[in-house]
Amino acid sequence: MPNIVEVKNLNAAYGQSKVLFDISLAIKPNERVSIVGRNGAGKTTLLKCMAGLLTPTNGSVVFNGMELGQKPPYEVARMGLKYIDQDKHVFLDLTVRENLQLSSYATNDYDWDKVFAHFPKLKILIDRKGAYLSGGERQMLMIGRAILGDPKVLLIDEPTEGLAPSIVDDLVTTFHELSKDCAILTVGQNLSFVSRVAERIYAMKEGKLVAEVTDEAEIKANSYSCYL
Amino acid sequence: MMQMNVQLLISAVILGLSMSGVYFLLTVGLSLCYGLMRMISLDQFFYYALGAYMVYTIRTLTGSFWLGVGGAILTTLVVAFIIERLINKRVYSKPVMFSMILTFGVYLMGVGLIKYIWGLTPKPVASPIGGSLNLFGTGVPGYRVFVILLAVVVYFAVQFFLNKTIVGTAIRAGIDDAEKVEVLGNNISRLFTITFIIAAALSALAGAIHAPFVMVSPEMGMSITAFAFMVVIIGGLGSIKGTMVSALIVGQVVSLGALIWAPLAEMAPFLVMMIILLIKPTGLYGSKYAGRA
Repeated sequence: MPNIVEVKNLNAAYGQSKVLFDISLAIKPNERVSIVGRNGAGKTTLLKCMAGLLTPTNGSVVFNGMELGQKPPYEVARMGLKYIDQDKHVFLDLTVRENLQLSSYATNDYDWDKVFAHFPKLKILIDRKGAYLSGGERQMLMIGRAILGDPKVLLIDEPTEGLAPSIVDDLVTTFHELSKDCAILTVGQNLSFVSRVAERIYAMKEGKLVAEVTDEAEIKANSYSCYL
Repeated sequence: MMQMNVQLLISAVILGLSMSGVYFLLTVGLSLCYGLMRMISLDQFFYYALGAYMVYTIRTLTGSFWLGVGGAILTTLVVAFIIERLINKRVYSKPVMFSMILTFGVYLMGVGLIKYIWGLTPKPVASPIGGSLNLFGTGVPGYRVFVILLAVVVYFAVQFFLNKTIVGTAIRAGIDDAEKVEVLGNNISRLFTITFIIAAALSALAGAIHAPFVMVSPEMGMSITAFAFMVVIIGGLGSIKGTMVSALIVGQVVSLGALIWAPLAEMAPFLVMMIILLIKPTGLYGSKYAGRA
C-alpha cells in the first residue's frame, strides 16, 4: 500500500536556530502513528512543517503523491491534511455551531452527523460559546471541526495534555474509530495513551528521529520510554 | 435664559451625536483591521479624504450628493483593493510597527495624489438635506439627524454581517486567532482583503458624509486622526461595540466640552481616555487577547 504521507530529509529552523535535522518518515493510510520525545525535541515544529505553517529550510513533504512545497496552510487543509494544535484553542467568542460552520464553509462539508456520531455531547453544547467549554469539550470540538471535509490524515499535537484520565480513555476509543477513515499522527509524552493508540512509534531527540518502534509488544511495554 | 440653555444643550448633544457618527464610521474599519490583521492602518485616513473629494467631484459634475456617496464608496473599494494586494499584504506577518510606517507612507502618497488632482484649495460641499427638525423647541439640522441615523444603521449592519454571515463569523474567529482559521481550510489572505476593503469603504463613507460639515481639504484626514485613535483606544481594539460606545463618549465630550469652555473640546477627550485607560488598560470592550503579537 503506498504511503499517504512521506517526509523526506526535512530540515527546519527558527531564524538562525536549527530545529529539525534530516527528518524522514512515512505514514500509511489509516495508520496510527505517534512521535514521542522530550519538550524541545522538535515534535511540534515537525507537525507545523507538515501542515504548511512553517516553511522547511530544505527537504519535502509529499501528501497523497503530491509534493506540498510552499502551499499555504489552508490549501494543505483542504487537500486533507488537518492539523490540531496542542493549546486546545477553539474560538472563544464563537458557539460550537459557529466553530463547526467555519470548518464546513472551508471544506464544503456540512455533514455534521459524523461529528456527532463521534462526539454526541457536541450536539447538546451546540449553542454554547467556546469560552465556556471544558478542556475535554474543546478537544472534542477541535477534532470534530477537523474531521469535516473527510481528511486523509490528522496531525494532532499533544492530544491528552491537560485532560482528565476518563476523557483520555474516551480519546483512545475515538482515535481507533477515526483511523477507520483516516491516518492519525499524534505527538506527545503520555506513554499510557501512546501505547494504547499507536501502531508504530517514532522517537525524537534534539531535532532528529532516533528510533522507530514497530513491534506491538515493545509498544505495549513502553520500550521507547528511554527517549523521554 | 433657562430655555436658551436647554436649547444650547440640545444643539450640543445633537452636534456631538453627529460627530460620533462620523467617528464611528471612520474607526470601525481601523478597529477591524487591528483586530484581524494586527495592523494599524493609517491609510484609512486617505480613504476618508478620498471619499470626501469624490463626493465633491461627483456632486459638482452631476449635482447629486447621493450619487457622490455611492461613487466615493465604489472608487475607494477599487483603490483599497489595489493597495491591499500590492502593498499592505506584505506586512501582515510583520510586527505592528511595520504596518504603521508602511500605511503612513501610503497615506502621504495618497494626500500627494489628492493635492495633484484637486489642488490645495479647500472645497465646499453643500448639505444635501436642508431644513431642520423641531426637538423640544430647538431647531436641529436635518442632515445632522440623518448622519446619526446612518451611523446607527451601519452599526447594526456591521453587527449583522459579523454575527450572522459566515464571512463575518470567520472575521470574528480571525480576531481571536487568524492562524487557527486558516488551518481549518479557510483562505485567510482573502479574508484579510475583504476586511480591508470593507474598512476602507466605511472610511470613505465617513469622509463623504462629513464633507458638508467641513471644507474638503487634502489634510482633512490628518486633522481627525487624534480623535479617531482616541475612539479606537477607549473602545478597545477589535471591538465594534466598544467603538460605537467610545465614539458616543468622544463626540459628546468634544461637543459638551466646547459648550462649557472652548479649549475643553480639544483637552477633555484626552483626559477621558487617560482615566478610562487607567481603570481599564484594554479599553472599555477590549479583549485581553487583542494585544498579542
